[in-house]
Amino acid sequence: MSGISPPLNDILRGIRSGMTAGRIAITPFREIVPPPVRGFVGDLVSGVDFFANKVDRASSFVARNFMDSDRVWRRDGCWTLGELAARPDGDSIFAPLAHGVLRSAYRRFATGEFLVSEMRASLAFSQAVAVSDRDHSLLPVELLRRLLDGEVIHRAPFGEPVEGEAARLSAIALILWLLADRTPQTEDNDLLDVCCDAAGHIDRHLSVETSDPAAIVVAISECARLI
Amino acid sequence: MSRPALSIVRNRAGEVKRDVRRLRWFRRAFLEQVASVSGHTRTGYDVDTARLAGAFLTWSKEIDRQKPSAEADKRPFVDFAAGLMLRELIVAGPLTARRSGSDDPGAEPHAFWPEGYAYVTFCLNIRDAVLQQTYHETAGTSATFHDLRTWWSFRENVAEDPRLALPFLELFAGISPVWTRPDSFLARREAKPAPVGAGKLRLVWNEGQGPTAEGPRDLARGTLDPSVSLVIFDLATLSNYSDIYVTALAGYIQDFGTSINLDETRERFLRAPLNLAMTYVALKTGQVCPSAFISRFKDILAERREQDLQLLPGIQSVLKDLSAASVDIAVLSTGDAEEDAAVLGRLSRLTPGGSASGFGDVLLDDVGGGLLDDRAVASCVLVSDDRQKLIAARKAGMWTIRLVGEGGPEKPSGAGSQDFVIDSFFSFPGPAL
Repeated sequence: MSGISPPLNDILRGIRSGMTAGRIAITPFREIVPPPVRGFVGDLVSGVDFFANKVDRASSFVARNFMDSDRVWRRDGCWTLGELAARPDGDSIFAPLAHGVLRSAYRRFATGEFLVSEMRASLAFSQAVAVSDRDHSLLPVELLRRLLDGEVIHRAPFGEPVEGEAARLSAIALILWLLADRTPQTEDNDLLDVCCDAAGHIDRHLSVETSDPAAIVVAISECARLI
Repeated sequence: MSRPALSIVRNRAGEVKRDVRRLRWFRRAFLEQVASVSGHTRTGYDVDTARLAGAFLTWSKEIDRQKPSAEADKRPFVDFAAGLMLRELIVAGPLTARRSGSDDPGAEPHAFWPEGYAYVTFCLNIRDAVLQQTYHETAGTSATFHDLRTWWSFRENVAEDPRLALPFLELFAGISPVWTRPDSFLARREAKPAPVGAGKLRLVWNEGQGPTAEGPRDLARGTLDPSVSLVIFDLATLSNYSDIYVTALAGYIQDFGTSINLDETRERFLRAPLNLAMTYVALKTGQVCPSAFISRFKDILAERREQDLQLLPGIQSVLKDLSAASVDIAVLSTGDAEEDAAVLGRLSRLTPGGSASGFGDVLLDDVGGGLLDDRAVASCVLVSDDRQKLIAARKAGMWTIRLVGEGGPEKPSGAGSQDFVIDSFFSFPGPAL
């Protein structure tokens, strides 16, 4: 962000404010920039290529915070669900990864104090892999169920109870995030935002197809494909 | 004001058609578009990205469901897909404009409906990029895009029926809108004009015996092909109902202090949703129409219908001849089932014997509908004055007869050139005996 001039910072602040709960505010540039630099901003508006690049960079800075741990990174990017399931130490990689993603996702859906347990995340992953050993296609739905049943996101001491819907949406976002394909050009910056946005769509499937794991798997897989 | 640009499509030359099917790209492009619109119009927006994702996912599912396989359909599908995108954005409503008290809602389309303006701009820019990159077409902006009256109509109509987003986007793009079943690609494909020479109209008529300037009773009438077993009359062609409707609506609009003549009323509002007339009155008077606008007009229309409705001259003779030849008769609905039933009921009372059976037992709502399932389509004739219905019927393989108004047949042109044309029921071809 250091290379971005002050007017652009203001513009980006206008765009990125209110990130919680999937809301983004976009403010007319001319209203947030003082008169002497309006001409410059006007040039930016007409040259939106430059502007869009700056948005990407700002997004990247914001979103990388949840992935600070080196443990969750491979040399060429983040692990996918399939890769983790195939590794004997998959649960120990999954635990910190789930911690970072769930913390970031839950904050987007709810306010208040909460905890994410790496131990419970690790257990949920191991159980889901074991149960879906015969049919790997069921792993996403098994993992989702165990993340929720195992209360991986749970109440902090002296905190308010965890919001069930927010915890469910966060877990769905994590599953989608692990299933979405990545290319060398993939910006991990806003991928979690996108997965959080799409989580509500899957949640509506869950509410009507709770007894049909295969249908839920199809919905999750299809959604991940489109992300 | 020119249409706000979307530069991200230029960064992905040749790949927009593929990229737009990914939520991460779609989201970024949409946010950039809103920022661009915001910069141009000085309007602030709040974006609900979860709703945006919902719109995208629903749109993608619909695209997958209706995606054509034939190469020839892929280009028109681009227009269709852009319209579907607009429909889903309008339904999901991811944008909320920040309005201020100083905004003038009537000055420009973007001020009148900031959210709709952003959606339309986005969909047009995506469509244009795909057309340019994939089909090397240069798409421009239609003057309609800047026409505030169209935006009034657009907003009111999609609020009532979001499917109408598709034909309105076509209007904004400067292409012919498809108003009938607009969200079905299959239906609109079948409604396309038939290629010249593909119709069967000439077979209906005995060559050399077309309508002349002589009196209608003196016309040497041709005969229907012996294979014809069903004649479907468009309800609008059976009576003077269209004239009653136009006259009543023109008078009703004038009651609001706005002058409009019959020709303009017919051109603007016949076969169009009634709330278009509401929009017209509101624009002319600067005042919002009363909520009872439509119901009050329907009351007036019902009264006129009872007083003035008449069968068109010659139709009773045609019905009698067809019945004598054991040719079945049906009536094609004009779209408003309640109104159609009332008109048909009144017409039935006007026929000798007062029986509805004179018009057949079935009121169809689709030219290719279920009544035809157990019948050879090639044995059916549609009689109508509506080019779109006639084209649809021809595409389905039916015979068609086009009824034109006073002044005789129009010059054959375009899609209608293959209809057999009559200027009254006195020149209706008789059944083969």
